[in-house]
Amino acid sequence: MKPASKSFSLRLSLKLLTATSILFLVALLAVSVLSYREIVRESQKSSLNLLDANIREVESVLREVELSVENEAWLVRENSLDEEYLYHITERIVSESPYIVGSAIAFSRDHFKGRHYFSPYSYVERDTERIVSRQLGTDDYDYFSMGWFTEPFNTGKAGWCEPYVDLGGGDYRMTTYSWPLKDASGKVYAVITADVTLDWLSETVNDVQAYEHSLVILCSRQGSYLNVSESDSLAGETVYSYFQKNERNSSGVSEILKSMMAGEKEANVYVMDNHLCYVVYGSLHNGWKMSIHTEIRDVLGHIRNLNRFVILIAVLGLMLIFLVCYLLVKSQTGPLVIFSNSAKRIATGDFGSELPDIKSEDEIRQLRDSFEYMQNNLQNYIGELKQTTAANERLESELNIAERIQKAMLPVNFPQTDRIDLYALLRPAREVGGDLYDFKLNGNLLYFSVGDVSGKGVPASLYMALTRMACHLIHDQDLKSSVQKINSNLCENNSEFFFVTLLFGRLNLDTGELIFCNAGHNPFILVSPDGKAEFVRPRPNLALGLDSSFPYEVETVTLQKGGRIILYTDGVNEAEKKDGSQYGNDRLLQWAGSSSGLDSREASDGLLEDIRSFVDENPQNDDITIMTITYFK
Amino acid sequence: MDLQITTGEGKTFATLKGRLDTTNASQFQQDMAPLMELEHPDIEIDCSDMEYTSSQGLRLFLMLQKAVSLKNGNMVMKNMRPEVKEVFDITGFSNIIKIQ
Repeated sequence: MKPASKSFSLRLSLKLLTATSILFLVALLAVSVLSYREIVRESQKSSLNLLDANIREVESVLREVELSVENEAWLVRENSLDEEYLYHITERIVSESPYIVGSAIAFSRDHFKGRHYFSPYSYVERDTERIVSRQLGTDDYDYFSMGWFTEPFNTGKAGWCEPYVDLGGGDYRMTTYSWPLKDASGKVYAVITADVTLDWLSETVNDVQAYEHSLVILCSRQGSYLNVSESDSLAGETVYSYFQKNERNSSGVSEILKSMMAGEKEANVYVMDNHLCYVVYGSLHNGWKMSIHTEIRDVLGHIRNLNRFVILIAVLGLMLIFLVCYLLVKSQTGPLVIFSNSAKRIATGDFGSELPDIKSEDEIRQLRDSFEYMQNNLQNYIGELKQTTAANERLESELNIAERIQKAMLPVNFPQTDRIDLYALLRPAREVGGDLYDFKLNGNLLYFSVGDVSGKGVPASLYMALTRMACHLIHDQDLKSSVQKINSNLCENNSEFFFVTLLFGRLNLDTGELIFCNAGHNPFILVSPDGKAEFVRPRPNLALGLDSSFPYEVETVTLQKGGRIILYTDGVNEAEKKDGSQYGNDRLLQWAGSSSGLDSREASDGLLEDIRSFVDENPQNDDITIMTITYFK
Repeated sequence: MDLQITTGEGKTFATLKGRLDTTNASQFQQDMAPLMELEHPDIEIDCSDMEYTSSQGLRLFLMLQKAVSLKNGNMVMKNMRPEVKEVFDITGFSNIIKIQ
């Protein structure tokens, strides 16, 4: 047998596994989302702190540079015509600050002693790292058109210029702080400068590495990259130009740029090259912008590792749950297989099949007890059923025997001569019945009787046997005396109030004289040779078996040659259709009249056939007996 | 077959309704038990709604009649339909049961 419990336990385990997995996934998802937000927020916070610290660091250096310049400004003003001293000042500015790679005092056009260009300039020579001084302005190096000069010269304000490559000076990619010197009227006549290399800026700024892919960008007010080394591909680029090149791969960047360049301090999220990033940005005191960019994947890197670990644990756990559940359910449903086998054996009649021994007090135990109860009850029930069936079979066989005995009681050697033609049939409603007929030809005298014992079945049949025997044996010369003898026989020991209606008669074949006694029976039908049928209604006597002292009376009719009588029991005229309507006397009489051309057997069978066609499918509810006697001479 | 039994003025009135045949004869025998057990039976049976009786029914009326006679009581069947009366007449039961 295929173990049904296997698929059941497997199915249950799979369902449990599915449910647990879903639960776990939802929990993991929720935890991930929540922790993701928290981690990103924390990371942003720390990035902001980092940004602040970084800005402060860069600012402090820039201020130092600015101070170096500003501190020398009054000396320039005092010694504005001392050429040598001016060189001395620029040299000192460069030598005293580790951050400054070059310094110039650039006078405006024709201002210094009528010279068109005059700008003492000191710088750190790139290869030797020596401080070298020279005059900067020439026709080849027209500083009047350069940003570091024009801006303070035009605005009268100090400030840092946009990054540039100083080809005439130190040949560095640099940015320059310029301080304007003004005369009494406020007109700018010279600009003092200090150069800072972008290499140095990028070294300082790029030290900040929060995450693997995080990026710090320092840019000027115009958006030029400041923290780029000479070799960097971004050198000379601005954040705008870079963004334009990469606009297609990004989203959210232009708003951030707008906000940052407006000087706002924010944290924001954008997408670049399909990577979700966030940025924190702020402004320096000189208008420069610093931003720190971090890819979310870096931030989430370690939580991803954590998740992988959790998923691994969960998968192992789920497998364990599945295994445990499967084994547990299988062990619990194991008895069901035995029950199933037991049920099959019971179905084949083996009620003693063994049941599993259940020790637990649970539903399986209940099932076991119910099963046992069913086994015992079935055993008892089947035992009883066997006895009952045996009894029924015995009864049935006895009934069959009784039926044969009863049939054998009825005479079948019907007299069929040139003088008389007698035929009778009896159809009991059950195996045995209460109807009877009898006849006996004794010389020229034909004794005949048709009777009906009250009730049906076995009780009636016993009484029928008694009646038939009496009718067959008692043939006195005096018919009245015969009937009274029969009656007193039947009255003896009749404690159950059975009774018999009986037509008892004797036909003299020589004369056609018919003497008869109707003891409470249906009237018989007399059919004349010309087909005229009528009931012979005698004076009512009493049915037999009721009163032993009842004075029965006889009557006489004479049969014509070719005449016929039909005797029957009430199973004929009271035969019923399904709707309850009865065959009735009228139809009976009509049929009897139309039967005169048939012999007795044909007439009897024909009547039975007519009754059957009348009742149709309705089962026979009473015994039917028909006797037809046709008299010839 | 429906049997209603009422009493009044020292008499017992029984009303029969429907058919009395093989299928309900034994039930009717149980139903009429109170009539059989009357101590001083004076029974009037209304048969106006009795549609049919089989020979088993006749036997039961006979049993009742015998029980009544043993106690010197009185029993009468009334308002019998002609087709039912005919059965009582043919079998001669009209001779031993009072029918009005």
